[in-house]
Amino acid sequence: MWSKAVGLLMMAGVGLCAALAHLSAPWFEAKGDFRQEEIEAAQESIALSLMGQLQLTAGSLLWLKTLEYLHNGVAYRAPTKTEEEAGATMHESVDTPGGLAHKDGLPMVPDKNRDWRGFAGDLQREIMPYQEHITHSDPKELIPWYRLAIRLNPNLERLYTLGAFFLADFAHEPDEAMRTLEAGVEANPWSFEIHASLGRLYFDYHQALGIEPREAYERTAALLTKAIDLGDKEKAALEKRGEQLDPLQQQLLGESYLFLARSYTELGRYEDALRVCDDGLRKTSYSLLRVQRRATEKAQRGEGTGESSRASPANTQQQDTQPCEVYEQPRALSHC
Amino acid sequence: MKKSCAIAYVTILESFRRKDPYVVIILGFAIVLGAGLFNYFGVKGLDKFVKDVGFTVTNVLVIVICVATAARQLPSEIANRTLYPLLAKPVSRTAVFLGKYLGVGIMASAVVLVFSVELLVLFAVLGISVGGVFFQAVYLRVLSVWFITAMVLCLSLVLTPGANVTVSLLLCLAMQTFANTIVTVHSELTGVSLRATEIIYWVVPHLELFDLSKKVIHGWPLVPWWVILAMTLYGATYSGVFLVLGCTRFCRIAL
Repeated sequence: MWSKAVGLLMMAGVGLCAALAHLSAPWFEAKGDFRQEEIEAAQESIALSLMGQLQLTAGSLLWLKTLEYLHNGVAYRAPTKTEEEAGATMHESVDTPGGLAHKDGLPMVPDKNRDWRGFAGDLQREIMPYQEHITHSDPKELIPWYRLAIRLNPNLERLYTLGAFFLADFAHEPDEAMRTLEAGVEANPWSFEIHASLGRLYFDYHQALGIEPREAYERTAALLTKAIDLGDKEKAALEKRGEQLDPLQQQLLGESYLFLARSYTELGRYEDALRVCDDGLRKTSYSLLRVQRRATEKAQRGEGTGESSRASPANTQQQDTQPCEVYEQPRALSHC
Repeated sequence: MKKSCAIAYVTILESFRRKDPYVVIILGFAIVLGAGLFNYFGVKGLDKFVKDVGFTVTNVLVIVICVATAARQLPSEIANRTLYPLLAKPVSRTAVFLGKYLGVGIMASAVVLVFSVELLVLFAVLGISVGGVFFQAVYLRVLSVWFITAMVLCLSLVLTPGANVTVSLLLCLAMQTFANTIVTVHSELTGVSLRATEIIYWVVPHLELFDLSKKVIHGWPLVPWWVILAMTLYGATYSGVFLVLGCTRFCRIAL
């Protein structure tokens, strides 16, 4: 009888602890606005550094997991120097869902013609996922890994932008995508990429999100204005160090100007739209801004703003890159 | 054989007395509860993710339980001096060793089966389908625990229980990963290092070949039956090698 009573008491105790933890959580919540001395103390703490590094490593491993999912479980790697000399190279992926263009490497389980293991190699090719011609899975399956990776490394901006892209375009859950990007903005208020992606999301999905067009364009304009401001600052900081924005960031910045101009055009603020087009062309040389400039001028003259007259990477082939390449996987992962 | 079976039966009974099955059931329950995690992600149709998490967790738990159970068998019999009355009876040391192997092997196989049933229930509840490759994966996992049991029992005669658990778990991890590393760096090696690496590759057992979980997770079709047969022979060979080494050592050890 006593053992049962102790058991029940323990269960009640666990329940009480859980309730207390839930109630007290807000009191212990970490705030982002740390004092300088707190930051310095954290930087000097070996334990914190190790934990932080472990967290980042786990986040990176999860990110790598997304590649495995994209290739139906087949693991790929970059060729070694000797393999490259023998003609084995990485090549652009084919049959890739939009936005996931990347370079495919060599399978971890070698092809029969370059395998030195004979029967053991045949056995491994049957047991491990292996395919001669690379195929890709539905990117929707990558979403949970992005979410886990965000939990572990909330400051890796592209986790938010890529995760939101899959949520909106593949899982057809733009509201979830919006929440993801909003969380990203909160965790990374300096990130022009996340601001730009959130602005694009409002522009592209305002109907699905149940937002009135005018309000959506205003939100887009506000977010993209901030994105351009942050992007310019980042660009200037990089140029100061002798570096430059990567191709994805360059395209994203160009598209931020484009969609800001489109939003202003939709809002009837033609002068602002034309100014943004000129600014964008001067700073990014993004060619679609010329098309948008003509479309805005047409609208200003009262000739309508039909879909065909709008400059959009989605309906224009003038740009060399495809629309979804703005969400292209980071180059760090191009060795998959 | 009859004596070995009797010792195996006693080993299993002892495990029940130590309430080991409760651990398995609680762990399995935790895995099923872990399904609540998937609601957190809020996206339907994430079959692969559920299967991946389920398989990864159960694979790790199976290896840990198998190693921990096998590692304590002979050292605890020796430490508690319960081995002496057993050997005083007309039972050979080989029969005792094989009996222990049989007992732990059956228990470890039961753990694999219990976890597999729990996974099947979890998948059924979540509406996730698994193909026939799931059952092939379970079979290969059962084969692998018999092989791991033989290795750990063998090591338990040369290492302390704590060291044995640590070394065995590290070996299991290494056996799962070293093959890919060797295959990757093989083209870069020459001369002695190349020969040494190839010898290591052929001599050290390949635990990764018993793992079909990726095929289950990503919905691949059944693997050919010759592969299952080959792996059965492969597992039996390595288990046999460790059993011979273990029996030889156990027969010669001074008690």
